Amino acid sequence: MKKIRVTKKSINQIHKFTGIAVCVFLIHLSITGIFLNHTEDLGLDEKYTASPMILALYNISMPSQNESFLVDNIFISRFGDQIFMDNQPIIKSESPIMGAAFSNQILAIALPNEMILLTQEGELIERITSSSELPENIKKLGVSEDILYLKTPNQVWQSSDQAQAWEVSDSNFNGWSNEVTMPDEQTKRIEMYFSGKGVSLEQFFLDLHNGNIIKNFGKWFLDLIAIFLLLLSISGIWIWLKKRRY
Amino acid sequence: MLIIILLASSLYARGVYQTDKDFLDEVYDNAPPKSKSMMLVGSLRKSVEKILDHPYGSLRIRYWKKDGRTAWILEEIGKTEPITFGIVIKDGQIQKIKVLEFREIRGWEVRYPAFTKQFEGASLKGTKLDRNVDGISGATLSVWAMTSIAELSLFLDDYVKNK
Repeated sequence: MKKIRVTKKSINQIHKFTGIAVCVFLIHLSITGIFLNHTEDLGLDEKYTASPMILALYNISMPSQNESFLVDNIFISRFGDQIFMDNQPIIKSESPIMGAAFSNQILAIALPNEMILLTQEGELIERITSSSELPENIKKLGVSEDILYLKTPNQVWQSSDQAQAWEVSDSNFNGWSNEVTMPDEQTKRIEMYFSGKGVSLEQFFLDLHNGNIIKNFGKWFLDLIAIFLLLLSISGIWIWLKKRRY
Repeated sequence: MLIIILLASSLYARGVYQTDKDFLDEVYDNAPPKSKSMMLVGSLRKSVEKILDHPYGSLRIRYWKKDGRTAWILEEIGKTEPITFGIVIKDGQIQKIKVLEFREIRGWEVRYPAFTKQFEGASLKGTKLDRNVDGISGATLSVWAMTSIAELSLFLDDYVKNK
């Protein structure tokens, strides 16, 4: 078996390599440490970041904005699979919203093969499907004088009893609800539902400092740095003792 | 490998087993009657809340009635997601109960006929079933949900009969 010889040169190289490696980490540790030391002075516990990049590190993601309709000054929108009534999450649906209308103080939201009925406060009255005689393949929804109208590929339907029964309509109804662009202010309010205020800068710096920001890898990385620091200390002492001897 | 098999089986278990429409076609030999509905208000709402230990998920319930049989499509939360059940009642007894849609990861075993058979012929004794239902290990919440829905459908059937 070949004997491993510890030479002055190899110890010097270990000391040099580990020194450079931990140097970068120590700079990072020092900077984040200074910030954490002055959290209250800098107000980091009261400041929040909603940067998508940082939120992604915390597995907080914003679903894509889909359809939105405006009914009696209330925004009905769908973000990801969540339907909102203004800022209030009301029901989940993977199907798109085809239209929304108020009739007899009931809010009706049409999906291609389903109708959701809600009170003005957002309480669910019923989810109606084709098994309850709802026409299929709904394209549009509208209301006139408390009568609900539905448009399917070939026909227009109407209901005057809160969507309980539907009959083919021969009227020339054309007041369909249409999609609108939601104001940025309203979009931001809904974003708050998914991301809250964001991540506090204090939490962010703390996670940067202790390596939690990169999840489990951070723990292993810190272990590696700890080993480097041990090697740096041992090789440093070894070199110092050798110099004293000569 | 075991994890992959377990994950695949749980994903396979989630989904629509039978659509509402197919369930009603099966119950009424492809000629289901027009639906009727009831609003859960006042004392009825309170009674329903007492049976479920919480308010029902919606304010209006729809049912179908023909040839002395009522059919109900009701939902109850298992652990976190609603399970959709189809129930048929005749002469105050459960004739059939099925899971139509299952959205949870665990507890789907309640769909098996070997389990649902226990409910056949069950009636109400007060507001509870007249019999004990044997549980399924690992599906306790789904069993509770099915039992609550069985009790609720029998109660509602009695309510529409005496309305």
